[in-house]
Amino acid sequence: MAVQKTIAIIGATGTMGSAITILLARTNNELLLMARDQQKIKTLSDFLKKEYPLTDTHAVHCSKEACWEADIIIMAVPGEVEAEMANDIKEVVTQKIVISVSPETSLSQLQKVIPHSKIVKAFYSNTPSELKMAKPGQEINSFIMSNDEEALTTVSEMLRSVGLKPVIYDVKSPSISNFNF
Amino acid sequence: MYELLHQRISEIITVTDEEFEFCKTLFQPKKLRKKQFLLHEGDECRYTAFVEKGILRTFSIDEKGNEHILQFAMEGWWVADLYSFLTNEPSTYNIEALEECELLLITKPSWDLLFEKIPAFEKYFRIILQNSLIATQRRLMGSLSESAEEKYEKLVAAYPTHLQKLPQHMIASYLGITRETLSRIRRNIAMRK
Repeated sequence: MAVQKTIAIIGATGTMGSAITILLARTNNELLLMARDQQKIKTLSDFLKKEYPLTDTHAVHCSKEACWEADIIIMAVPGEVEAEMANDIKEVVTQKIVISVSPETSLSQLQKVIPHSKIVKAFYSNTPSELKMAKPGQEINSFIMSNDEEALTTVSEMLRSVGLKPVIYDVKSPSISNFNF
Repeated sequence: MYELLHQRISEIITVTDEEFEFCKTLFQPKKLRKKQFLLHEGDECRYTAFVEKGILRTFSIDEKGNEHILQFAMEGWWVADLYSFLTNEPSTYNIEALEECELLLITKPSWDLLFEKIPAFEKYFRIILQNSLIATQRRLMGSLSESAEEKYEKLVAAYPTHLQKLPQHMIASYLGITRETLSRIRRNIAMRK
């Protein structure tokens, strides 16, 4: 059994955020849910407690608090506010894996804001409805990229555990072996 | 967030602001809730932790299900299973937060990088480890030769304030005595005063 990790999901109630949250609720990780709308957070949290009673989920009101407690941070926020959000949590995410889900931003943009974190782009190639369909045994392709080997391994394992097939996009020498365009 | 670490390091070595800024980039700030584990028996001990706030205990469970507490880690202390941390072998210990904790975690590669970039840190850790070896020898000698009462009195003398935070059964487990023996000792001491 993989070591239990604490995962903070910022923007947990958005369409992308909630799809990822529901996927991860099936794993044995502890989830910290953060969103501005307290009512929506409560609805989501109640839903998870009912559907996945064994999963440890907590609603956390402050993104910095959530990220401080977490081992892995998922920023399920729109691309245009990502940098600002990263700047808010900068102090508490050094050396941690920070996952960006936006298809609009790049690794290097985030790297400038949080240079001492292990930034991974993941889930950006999937639609929320695709994520909702994922289940173990299925092989839905999911692209990931990062400059950090260890982070790629950890996130690949996480994707596999929820039924996604990680396809690593090599940032340094772009070519994807199992795809021919 | 790093004040206590900075203070503790500065007591032993001199680091410039720039060096400490670099040092900060190598740590993972981490919070644990009460009863959460930093390390589970059987897992690899990936981090050495500096305790900024809170108390943790390192313990193992024997075949009969009894818990044995190896050590407590108080504010300003470091905690890890050094054997597992250095060898990547599975740990035989559990490390649990006894109250809400704020920790700074560092991995083996980052720790090596720290020594490489700022050699003064080697001196810092040499002194920390020397002290730890002496304390371990004393604790071992004490457990071989001292009576339960002597062990308890030395513990009280060493950590008067910390001890108040710990439940009696954990103190007994740390001393390797039963809860009943501990309460008898405490009664005897109270009567003498």
